[in-house]
Amino acid sequence: MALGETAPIIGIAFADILFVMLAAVMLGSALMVVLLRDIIRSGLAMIVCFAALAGIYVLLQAPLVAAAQVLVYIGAISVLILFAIMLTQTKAGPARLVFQTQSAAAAVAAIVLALVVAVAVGATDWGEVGERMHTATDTLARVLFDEFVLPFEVVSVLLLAAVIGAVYLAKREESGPS
Amino acid sequence: MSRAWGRLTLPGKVVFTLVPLLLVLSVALVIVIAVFGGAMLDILVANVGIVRFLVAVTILLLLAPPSAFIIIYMEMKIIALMNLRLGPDRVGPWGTLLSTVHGLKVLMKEDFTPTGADRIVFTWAPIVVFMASVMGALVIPFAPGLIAQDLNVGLLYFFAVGGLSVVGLLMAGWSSYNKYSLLGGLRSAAQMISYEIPLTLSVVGLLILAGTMSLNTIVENQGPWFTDWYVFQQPLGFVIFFIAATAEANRTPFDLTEADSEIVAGFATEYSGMRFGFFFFAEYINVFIMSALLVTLFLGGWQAPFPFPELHIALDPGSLGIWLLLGIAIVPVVATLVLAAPFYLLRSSTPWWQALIAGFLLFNVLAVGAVLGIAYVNFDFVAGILWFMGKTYAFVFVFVWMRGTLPRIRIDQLMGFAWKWLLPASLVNLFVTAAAIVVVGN
Amino acid sequence: MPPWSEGRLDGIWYVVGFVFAGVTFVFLTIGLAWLISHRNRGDVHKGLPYESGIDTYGDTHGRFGLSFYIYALLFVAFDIEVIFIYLWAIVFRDLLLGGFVSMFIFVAILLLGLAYAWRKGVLTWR
Repeated sequence: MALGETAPIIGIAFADILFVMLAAVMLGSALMVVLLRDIIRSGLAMIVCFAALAGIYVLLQAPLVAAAQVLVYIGAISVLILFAIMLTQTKAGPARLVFQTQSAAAAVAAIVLALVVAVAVGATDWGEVGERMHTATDTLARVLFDEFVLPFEVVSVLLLAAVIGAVYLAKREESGPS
Repeated sequence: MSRAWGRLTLPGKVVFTLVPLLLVLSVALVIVIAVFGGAMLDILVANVGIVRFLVAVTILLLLAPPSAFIIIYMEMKIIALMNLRLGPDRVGPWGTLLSTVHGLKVLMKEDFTPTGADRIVFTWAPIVVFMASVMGALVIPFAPGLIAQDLNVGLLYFFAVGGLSVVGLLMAGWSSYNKYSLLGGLRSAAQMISYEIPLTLSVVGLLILAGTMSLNTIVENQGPWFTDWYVFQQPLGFVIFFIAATAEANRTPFDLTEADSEIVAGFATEYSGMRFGFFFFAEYINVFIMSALLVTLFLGGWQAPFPFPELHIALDPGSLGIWLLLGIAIVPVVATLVLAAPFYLLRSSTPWWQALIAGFLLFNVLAVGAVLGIAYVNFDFVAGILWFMGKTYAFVFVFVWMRGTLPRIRIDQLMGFAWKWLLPASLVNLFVTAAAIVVVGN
Repeated sequence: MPPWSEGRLDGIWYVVGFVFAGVTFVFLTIGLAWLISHRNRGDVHKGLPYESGIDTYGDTHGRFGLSFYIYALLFVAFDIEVIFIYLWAIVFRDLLLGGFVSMFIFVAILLLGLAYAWRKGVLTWR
């Protein structure tokens, strides 16, 4: 009476059930990011969205990407965003400045993006995509440091630019009249 | 009877109804198991993967509060002894139950939400912090084979979930609607992200040597002699990791998160009751987990410092037949008498019953020692878990010792130290290791 | 092969299951505490934030120093670096000199940023 790969009554693979659950969490939290009124809660919902995305990466046999997603996106970038919100938001300012001043433009952008995604999904020949493949971490590392050394080095220039930009911002804030 | 019932509070009534109900239910459960046990066992064996998962998760979650209690007691008692105080000595032998009583007390305290707080975020913050510290235990190898899940990105997973606690601290600080909380949350977040970089970079030299991120393989590489432990090949990495781990666990001298002389209790200022309790648990579980990771990475984890001579005591109690029963009946009596004799003979003032009690206690100690010794020799995991826990609690002791000894540092020193000293030092360690590998070759 | 036996998906089931079990555990405990703890309503002062006994002054969610933000930005840069270094470390025994040089350049470029920040005094807490 061992449980197989599919759930007993509904006949759906357990991995697919997990995928649907994670996708639902992701879409729900993504909606919350846009719809919630409290901007901090939006940021937290975004973290949930990232976490569900990391789960989907694992289901796609890419545990390293998932770990990077959690480490960088949740551990660093979300914290950066939370910091930014906490440091800048003030109840004294009018909420209209923060929220929904550009709803028309945003709607246009969203529709265009949706169209692009729909076209991309429709135009791809999904028959060519094979089975889910397992990317071994060390294979990935070998390829990265063998064939893609130059892009890898360029990443550091990008990061350098980010650091210098941050420092510049900080210094300007300090020297200028506030 | 009815008057006593009427005097009970509502929670008391609930408890007094639930407890007999649970008793009846457990009796029923025993009967069910007795009747359908065989069939259930078959199902369990067929789905051994699920059973393993359930057991692993349950053990990890249920072991978290007791280990926190042990560390809290250690902290109270050891710091007291270092301060020439008595420390806890009322509840249980040498006060050992005091932290448990504290835990129960916290369970019964009012769990209060301030008016200005954001209720949902306020409730989720301790959960996030607690989970961030407990989830690391999923990849810690406690003994050969005793690891919940040997992920091949284990170490990266550990640091990734450990980083989640920053989010929890920010949530707690923000949602409390209190300036101390917000300052404490921001401070601890800044501290943790600053020390996470040296923490993660200090183990890279070790990763180069090990060639894997799976913690189980890292431990297996560090045997059989203690000279194979990575601490001897990575001394600088070990020191950096230890300092950064202290800061990550928010321990003295880096406990600015709850610098009570400056910001009351930091992010936990507005918390009370069980939600505060989970912050408290998380802090002490963090100490345990960080010590465990330190031991796993640098001090050989469950490896004994020297290979134990290969002997397997072949015991087959069944072959003794009737003598087994006789032995069980006779050996304790004879051994008690034999062990009691010296007590009785050495001092004439000792009454016979005291000598008997002493002999019985001594026999028990010896018997337990013998059983443990046989278990140690015959079962790898017993030896493994003993060494692992011994080393881990040695480091827990060091953390407590530091709290008893070192003063808290200033926040500018704290941040400067992470970025100006630890980060360059860990990079130096990394490249020196890499250069050594290049020079020596494989 | 069932996903939780010896399959490759093991990890995700353990992690998701552990999150689920842990959150349930915490909520049950908090619920139990809520059930058996005493509560009283108190007056309006009970809900005030505790700020050393002084009535709260000004906007709590106001503005704070920018230094926190700079550390977070630096952290993002170095966190991404950490991922690459980990990948590099586990295969370093195959790369040897080439790997050493490429990672040295990578880290050196990033350290330029750190040196700039150091020079500008951003790393010193104020």
